[in-house]
Amino acid sequence: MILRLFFLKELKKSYYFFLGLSFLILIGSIGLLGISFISEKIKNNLNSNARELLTSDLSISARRDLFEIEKNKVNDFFKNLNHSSYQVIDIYSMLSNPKRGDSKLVEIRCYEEGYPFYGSLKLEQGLFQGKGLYVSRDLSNLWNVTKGDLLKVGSDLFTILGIVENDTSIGIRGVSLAPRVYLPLKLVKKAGLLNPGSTGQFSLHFKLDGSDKELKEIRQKILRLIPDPAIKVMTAKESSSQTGRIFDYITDFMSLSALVGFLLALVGIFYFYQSYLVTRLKDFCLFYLHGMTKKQIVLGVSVQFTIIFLCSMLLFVLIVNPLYFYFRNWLGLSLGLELPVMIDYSSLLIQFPLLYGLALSVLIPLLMGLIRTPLGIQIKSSKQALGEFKFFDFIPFLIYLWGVACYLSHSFKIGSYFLLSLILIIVLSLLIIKFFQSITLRFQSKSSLVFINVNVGIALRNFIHSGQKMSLSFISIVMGVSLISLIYQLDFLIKREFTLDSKKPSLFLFDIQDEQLERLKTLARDMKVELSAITPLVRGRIEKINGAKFERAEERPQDISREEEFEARTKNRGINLTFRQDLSPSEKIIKGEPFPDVLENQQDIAFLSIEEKFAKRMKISIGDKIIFDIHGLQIEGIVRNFREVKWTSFYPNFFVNISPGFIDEAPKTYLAVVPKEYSSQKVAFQKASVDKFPNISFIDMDQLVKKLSDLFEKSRRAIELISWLSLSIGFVILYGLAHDQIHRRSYDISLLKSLGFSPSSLLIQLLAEFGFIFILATSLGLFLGWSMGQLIGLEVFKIGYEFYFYHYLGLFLFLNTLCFATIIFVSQKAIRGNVRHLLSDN
Amino acid sequence: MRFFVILFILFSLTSVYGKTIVFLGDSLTEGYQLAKEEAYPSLIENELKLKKMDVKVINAGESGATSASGPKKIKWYLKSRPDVLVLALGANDGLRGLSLSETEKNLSLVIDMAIEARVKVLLIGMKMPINYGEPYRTQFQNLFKKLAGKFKLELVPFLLEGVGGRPEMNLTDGIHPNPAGHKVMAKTVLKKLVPLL
Amino acid sequence: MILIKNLKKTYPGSIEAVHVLKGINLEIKSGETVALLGRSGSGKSTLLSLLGGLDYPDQGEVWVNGVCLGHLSDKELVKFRATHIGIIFQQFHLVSTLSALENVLLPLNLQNHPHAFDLASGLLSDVGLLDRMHHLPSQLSGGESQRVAIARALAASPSFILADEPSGNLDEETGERVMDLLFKLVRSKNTTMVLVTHDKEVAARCDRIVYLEHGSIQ
Repeated sequence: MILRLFFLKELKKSYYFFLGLSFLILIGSIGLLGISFISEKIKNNLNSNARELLTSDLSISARRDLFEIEKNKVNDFFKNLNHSSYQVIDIYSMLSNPKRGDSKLVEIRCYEEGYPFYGSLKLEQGLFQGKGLYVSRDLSNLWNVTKGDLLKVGSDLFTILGIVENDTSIGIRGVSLAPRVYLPLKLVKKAGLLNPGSTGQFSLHFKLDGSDKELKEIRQKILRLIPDPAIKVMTAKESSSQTGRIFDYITDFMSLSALVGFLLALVGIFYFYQSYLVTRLKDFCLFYLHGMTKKQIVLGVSVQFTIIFLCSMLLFVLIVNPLYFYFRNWLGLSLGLELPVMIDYSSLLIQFPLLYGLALSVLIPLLMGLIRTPLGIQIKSSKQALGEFKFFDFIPFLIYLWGVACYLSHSFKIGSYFLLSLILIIVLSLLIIKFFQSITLRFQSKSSLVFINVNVGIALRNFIHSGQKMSLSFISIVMGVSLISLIYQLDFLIKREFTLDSKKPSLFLFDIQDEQLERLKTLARDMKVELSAITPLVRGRIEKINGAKFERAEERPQDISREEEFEARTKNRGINLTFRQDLSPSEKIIKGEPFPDVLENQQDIAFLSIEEKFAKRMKISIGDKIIFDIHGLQIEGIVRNFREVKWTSFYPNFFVNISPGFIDEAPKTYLAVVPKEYSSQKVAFQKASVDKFPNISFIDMDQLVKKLSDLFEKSRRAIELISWLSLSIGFVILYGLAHDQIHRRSYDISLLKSLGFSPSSLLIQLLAEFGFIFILATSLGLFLGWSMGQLIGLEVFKIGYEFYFYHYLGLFLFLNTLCFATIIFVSQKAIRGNVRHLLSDN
Repeated sequence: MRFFVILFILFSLTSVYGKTIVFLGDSLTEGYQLAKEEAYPSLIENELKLKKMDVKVINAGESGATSASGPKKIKWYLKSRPDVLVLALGANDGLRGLSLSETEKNLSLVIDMAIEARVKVLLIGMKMPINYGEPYRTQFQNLFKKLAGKFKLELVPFLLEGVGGRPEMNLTDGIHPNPAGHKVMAKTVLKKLVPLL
Repeated sequence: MILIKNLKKTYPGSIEAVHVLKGINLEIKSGETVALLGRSGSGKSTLLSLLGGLDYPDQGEVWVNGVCLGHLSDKELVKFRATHIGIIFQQFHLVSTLSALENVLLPLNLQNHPHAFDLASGLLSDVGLLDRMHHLPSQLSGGESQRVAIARALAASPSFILADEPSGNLDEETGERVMDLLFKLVRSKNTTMVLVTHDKEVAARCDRIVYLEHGSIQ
């Protein structure tokens, strides 16, 4: 059609503008689609991690084998479902080494054909065939055994078929007292270890088709079939503990921040498209006067935009392949993911219409404005003005955005919060602008331009009369800064959640007897190992709280629910206590006072420090008097403070700390840790220790700690990635907006120059005006980001108020420096440029 | 220093009244995850009181305790001048696969100290689950027989007789007895305990 | 008094250099109004910009009241312009965020003039816009804006005024009224004025007409 041809010609004419537009669409898309891609991969990785941890999709496990009746119910249930299954039994046993003649406690994983459905056992050499005995690297080190050696399990001898270097099913809950070995279940039975009277963990594992939701339903159905609280039914998702849940939130967050990146790009698109339409108004008038209807003009503009968009997408496809090829390795290494060799375009292509819809809907207000423009008279008037757009023109965009947010975060709740936050940002920004504009107006003199000096006066007047474009810039800065501030908070929250002691533990020792401690330390020193975190453990029971008896001995009904039983158990059991004056590195007092100095304490009542969540469960308050029974002795203590404990630090920490001087002499054992730096000597140390102190037990932490560190690193890297991306897009937009704003003013600037304002004065004007806007916007953005971070912290991490003034000050200074530098850089040309263009001949 | 004084007073008071029995053991004795009153030492105390016997029971059970903690603990509890010691340690040694000669050494030391303090000792034996395999299981069980023989002690061969391996007698972890299980354990121990009083 | 000596200005062209001014010599007495008449491309705007110190000549000198503009540093030039030269542009060029009054105050506040407000309001009154003094340029018509520009140009009591096609963007009637006002004020304050125009009638109103053609005075 002639229409379209004409617009295509236009494309050639204003190619600079279209290039800029394409560029914006491109970077916004790369950001959004790129992050979506990565967060999908991370999510998949986590899901497969979860399945690898469980080795299956669903497990039914208990400390006993299922009864016949229960087994029948389960079999009936799965009869009609497409599935595979196997049983796994974990038992402790004494293995003997015929060559050496001694025995050792090991944990035997008795497996069946098909183990594991997910995950793997990585061997030193070769592949896990699953037909015989495999032993872990720990055992191999401790006993000097290797492939081909014989070990006696139960009544039978077995040859070691391989050494297991890494078992993906060992997770955060998989800490074992003893090294692991793997043996087929029927062989273990044959060796006589699985007869009635055996204790162990019995699990039935299932591989099933089905989404997370479907698996959840299956789990519920099974729970109804076998309601015995002793039997745990878990899907892979549930078994990957607290950390998995946090990761879910992180990946959703990533998608949303990518969306914000795209939104920033959209701001740019809106901004520049508006300018473009204004410059073309004369042409539109001509069309209109030649008989084209407004509808046709709007259609033409939409088609033009669609063509640009399609070209950008084409460009995207062309660029993204070589980009991905180049960065794939680096990206994969940074995030600890296996990234596919080729990008799966089908998933990307689905998202293109999403982006197109968003971009087009953000232009609706402009198109409505165009419709409202009185095109007939435009041609005469010297000032071109696009018709006003109303705020409700943005409603289609907001609705569409809400839909996209829900889609990307897979949750209506989160998508809605996102939209609300955005609306809040926009509304607050506009309110703040209006407020400061009116305040500034009030302080303007009616008879002089001077406010401090003439430059600042001019700057403030510019601010007061600044229009939509400035508001738009302001909003985009607030958006960008809120995001950065939020990301910063999130990073901080993750660091807190996951902090590992700088002395990461390699070995954990327990049951060190009082009289053995000094000799153990000596042995350690001799073996060039330094023990750390040496902590006393005293066993006790809570007898009374504030005079009221604590334990209940009433009959518990049989049909008690799981939660109630857990509650009852937590109230009644004995607890491990320690005595400490100071806090451990992974503790922090969050309410109350620290213990007073030992020498100052004149009382006969001990001071107690309680872990915050334990205090909540036990309904203990500060000032409560608690009486403990400690080895027959009644000790009274008063609750002095609540502590927050980072359990993931693996430092020996306790629910209850008692001040020194009360239970120090009671029967106790010690815990200790061998830090990672000595892990090369750990085997030798273990062996020597077992000789001298046979009762001291060791738990090997290396694999576990490594897993936790990896998880932690991954989440930090993901956060880093999105923060850099947002910063980059934000910066590009900032630069573009600054450039445009200043370019707009080039006439004014030249004018002022011709009137006698020096370049430095002009710079002061620009810095004062924009600086004021930046400071306002960054402050608002930082505040909003912090608030949102607080909400997320409470919701996801259950952590409350945090505010580190200096960190935020640093962020504030950094961002503003960036903004100021941008203005200075961008304005150089205008400030020092030629004034000639003011003259008529130009 | 101050609690030594309290300790002394507290414990010296008890010796004025009837007989004091100290139950030195692990989680089975402590009554892991149960109220103190539901653990078998308290149940025994109640039974004996019903039989009009004047007894005081001290529950020195500590979850996780091994025989290695025995000597230090017995020193502590001897301060309360018990008349009878019910020695129920060793199970954790077995579960953790510790050296049985060490277990024997530790328990012997405890028994020695008790005898020297003129305390009557009732030895409680344990069995390891089937999965621990032979010869360890037999060695473990025989250890108690050996000690009983060496020191001429009364022996309860297996504390968890009628309790172990029965889901209805145990908590959901399958290892620690529930209140019903403790009732059975109380009966088992009481049988051999009463003659000592 | 303005003295122009052998002024030459060349611009680099796409094919070859364009000699816009090929050696201009001109003397303008104090209080004189001079029209620079010529077609577009004759170099009149270039000459104007050199006169106003908005650009630098390739050869030759511009002397204003005994000061050679070429000998001034950038800073000094800026200051000189502020105190000695008033410029009126064809496109009015009012600062859009300042009111009429504030636009006139610009040169006054820049130089920390003690009676800025009085002077500014006086000038606005002279151009007949005192009642519009708090209005923004967007609220003023073309003619009104140009009148504010005139007031601004005169505000700092400059030695001379440069006017670049001041009525070029206005319709005939408004243009005439604006020119009336401009001449009235300029003559009443005895300000030197150099007026660039392509309109013979406007040029006729000045004391002297200088014809520019292809970069030289005819």
